[in-house]
Amino acid sequence: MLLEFEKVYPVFSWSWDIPGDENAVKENGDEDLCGICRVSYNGTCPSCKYPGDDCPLVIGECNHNFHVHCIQQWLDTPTAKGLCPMCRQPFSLKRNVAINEFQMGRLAKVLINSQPATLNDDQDMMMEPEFVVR
Amino acid sequence: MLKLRQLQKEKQQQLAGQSSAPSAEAQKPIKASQLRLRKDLGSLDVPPCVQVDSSRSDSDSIVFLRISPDEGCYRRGTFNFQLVFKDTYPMDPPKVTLLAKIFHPNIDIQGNVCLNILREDWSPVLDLQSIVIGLLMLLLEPNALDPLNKDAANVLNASRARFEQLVADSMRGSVVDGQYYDRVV
Repeated sequence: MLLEFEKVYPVFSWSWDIPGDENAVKENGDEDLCGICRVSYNGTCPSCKYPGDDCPLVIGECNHNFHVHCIQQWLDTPTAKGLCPMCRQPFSLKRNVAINEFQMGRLAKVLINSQPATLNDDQDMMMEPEFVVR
Repeated sequence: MLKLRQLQKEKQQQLAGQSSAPSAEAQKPIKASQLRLRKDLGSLDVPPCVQVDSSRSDSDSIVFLRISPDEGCYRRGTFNFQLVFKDTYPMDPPKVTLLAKIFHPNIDIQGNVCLNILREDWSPVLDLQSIVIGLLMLLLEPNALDPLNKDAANVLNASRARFEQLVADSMRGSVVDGQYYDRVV
């Protein structure tokens, strides 16, 4: 018998690579949600249209994860005091995690700027949504 | 027969016109704050003593909470809270107001509510559920340490029994310390 493929429809799926999360038991199949906007890690924050590199996820040192846009918006408010909204520890990005690497410089600036004494011209730069797309 | 067809057509056009109007409204981009509030309402799980009603004004979203505590010194009362969610929700907490004057150390006579999670301890991971629990807690355990109504706090500090008596009186609508309180039972 000779089989001839006329068309092939490849289907791909992806999810963020969150270290230590591979064996996490997902109760009743629920996806993990960003605590701020309540949308899946693999979805987008409310101001973005396309998931993935356009709306990346970041992993906190405290192992709390958020869309970078969500956590940045929070850290920009004076009430945030630079703290994680989940555990109220100072929020910083976990080191040596692939998906954090591109956001390091970006969020470090936010954290510096959240202390009023060091407000400077960089703030305008920080507001610009520039992303490294792989 | 021809006329009937014509009428049918007109009617269909009318219907189409009607249905296109609201769909144009639906095409307006939904604000992030409203999306989040919808999720909050969807996942809300409250005890039977709490009733929720939501409405949408032009700019803000408003949620009404009707709480009838089944224990504590405010039981048998019914308290209507108004929660106004601005565009900045969940970065900022909603503005919570009690729509009646009651004798409570943490609620002033304008209805302003003093609850830590609605002020300095607000965090964007908190939601409508957390606020409902906070308000239930406030009615169950009035806190004399951080008062908005100093008269009520002083009474609570001096004597719990006297405080509970005054609460019971005030909920029936009466004057306490020269201030009139609304009937909420």
